[in-house]
Amino acid sequence: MRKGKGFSGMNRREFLKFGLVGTTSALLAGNTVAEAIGQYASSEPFAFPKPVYRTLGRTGMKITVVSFGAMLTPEAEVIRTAFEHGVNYVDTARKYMDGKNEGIVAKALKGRRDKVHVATKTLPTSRSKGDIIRDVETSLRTLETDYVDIIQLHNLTGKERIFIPETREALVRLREQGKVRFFGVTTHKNQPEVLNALVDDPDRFFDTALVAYNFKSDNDTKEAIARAAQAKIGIIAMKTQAGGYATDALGPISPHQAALKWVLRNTNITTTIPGMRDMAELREDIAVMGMPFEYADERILQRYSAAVEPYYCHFCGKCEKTCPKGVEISTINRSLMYAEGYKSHGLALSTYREIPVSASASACLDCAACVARCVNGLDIETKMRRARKVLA
Amino acid sequence: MLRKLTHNSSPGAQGISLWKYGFFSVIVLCTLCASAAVCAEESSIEKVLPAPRCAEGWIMEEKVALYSKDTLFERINGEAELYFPYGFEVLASARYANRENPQVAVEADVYRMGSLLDAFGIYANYRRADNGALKIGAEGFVSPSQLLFYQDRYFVKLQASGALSVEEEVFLSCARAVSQNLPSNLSQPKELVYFMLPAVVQRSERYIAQSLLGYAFFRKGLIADAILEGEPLKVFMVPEESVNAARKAFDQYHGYLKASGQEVQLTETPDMTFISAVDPLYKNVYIEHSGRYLIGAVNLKTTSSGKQLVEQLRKRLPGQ
Repeated sequence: MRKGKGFSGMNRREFLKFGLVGTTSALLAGNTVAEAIGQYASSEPFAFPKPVYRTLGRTGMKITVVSFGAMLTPEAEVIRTAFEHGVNYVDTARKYMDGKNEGIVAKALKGRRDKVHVATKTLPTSRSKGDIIRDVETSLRTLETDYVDIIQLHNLTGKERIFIPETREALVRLREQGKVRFFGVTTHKNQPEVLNALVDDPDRFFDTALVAYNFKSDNDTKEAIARAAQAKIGIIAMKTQAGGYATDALGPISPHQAALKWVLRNTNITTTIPGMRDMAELREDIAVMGMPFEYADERILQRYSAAVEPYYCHFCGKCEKTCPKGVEISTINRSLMYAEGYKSHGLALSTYREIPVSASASACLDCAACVARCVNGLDIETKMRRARKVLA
Repeated sequence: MLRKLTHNSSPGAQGISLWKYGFFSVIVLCTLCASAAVCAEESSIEKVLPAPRCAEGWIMEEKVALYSKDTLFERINGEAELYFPYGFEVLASARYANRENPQVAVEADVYRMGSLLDAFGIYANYRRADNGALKIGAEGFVSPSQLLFYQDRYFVKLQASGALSVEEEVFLSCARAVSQNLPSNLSQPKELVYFMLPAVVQRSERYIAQSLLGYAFFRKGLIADAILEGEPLKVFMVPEESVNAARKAFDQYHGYLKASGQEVQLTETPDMTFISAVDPLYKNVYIEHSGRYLIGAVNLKTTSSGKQLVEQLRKRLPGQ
């Protein structure tokens, strides 16, 4: 594992590595720790759990609560193993690996297409009727199937794309031809706006939404998800582990299962699609099916949140409005994150150098005390002091 | 800086002879050049993208956008996670619109990865064995809608936008313009030489930066398709940091096979340690531990049929 992995861009394996050492061991004692350690050792015997299903909104599809995000999986055999043990929903995209990922899914689907629901996505740039039809037909060829269960518009950042007539016309035509069964959208940004637009759409055109949702999600997102689920829009959760800093401290206990269980505690979520690169990740994720969210999980997430809180800047920039000197606090925090989280001093310095001196952490020296405030309680004065030391 | 040293001689400096000035200047210049090189490496990726045009009639719109690890999602969505194990550092992105039809553009993305091997690894995720190799950078390929190549630790993706295709010459012109701005190292990773074996399918090699074969204990490695007696299989190599680390991975795999209740035959002689087994995912496998490497073949017709191929690969590895 390389050093210097990413925060919001951090993958789940790194999340496992986050320093919960000394916290989780205090949380869980004796055999539980041993069991947990054993659980993550991929060479240990493992019994796949009985699949647990929920219904995906008005599609009526009954899908496993832990499904397969295929995006990161180079080997079809790992996906196939999941299918063999009951996972019945797989998510890919035309864009991933320029379609090669759909080819990997195709290999895993051989001989079991009728047992697995397949979701893919049009290219994020596709808008016109021709684009959408071309994308879907290319996906069908690559997936070696006659139909996909859900075709999703990829990466909506606002409500506009929900209402493009040409896009809808193409989707309807594809459904009439039997090439797609249901329509969905995916979104990372402005999620409440996108979800609310799906509900407020008089045609209720889209059936599902793939959203980023985790224990760090804000209330607006939770409420929008609840509203969409109430309207029978099927909700699929991604980015379930929230991200965090990579550290050199290895904890034997995984906060990922706790994070996944936290998401599934919300019954408005039908399924999760964690990306699984290997058998160890598959075992870890699939084991969550049927597990309740317990006190220990809550403590793990609390400890995890507390551990990242001193570092966890949301980069919302709201604090900058409270700084009389116009210091670019969020960029400085991002530079610090590169230095301390990613351990990439070069990247940290190059980012920091982009800030004008008048808006750098040095500008703070003109103030006797820091008046800038973070809505999430981040200690800005300490962070700026730290930036001067690490980056000046 | 040189002019300042030459013309603004302070009284205290007057006694310094001209050759000392020259010597001092050279030292200063060397230091500055070295620092500048490092700074350029770290901070000027946006300058890699040619401006104002990448090909005749294809003009850069707005300015170069930069994406870091925490913003890469904004550019490539969830696919961003694919890049992180390959040491992704920064992405510079620009759109070159066609002067006559601005709806049509070439979108140019230049990714700085951790190393040459990482750049190859991410490139190979997109390459298909049937893509003809293009002589651009270390290697590339072109299709009607895109051109991809890697050079040094950079991975470059040129994509048609607003049209299904762009003339190949436009892609080539843009690719050459970007290539000229990248470090001049056009070599491929040395590890690819190990796979130059008659049975290996050319240009099927991949570098997997995390969990080779879908097993976390094979932390990373190279894998390629091969054909043996008409049967397709895969041959792979896991480079570890030490003999002990390689042995540990080997033992973990052995433990995994045993725990899976599969047929496993472990052979240890003073010269060689290997497993012939039936793997739950890959049917018949043969895998050796040799020094700091694990070398193996999967999807074999019989457990012993890959032995010769693995031996050929082993002999090409350094120190074997």
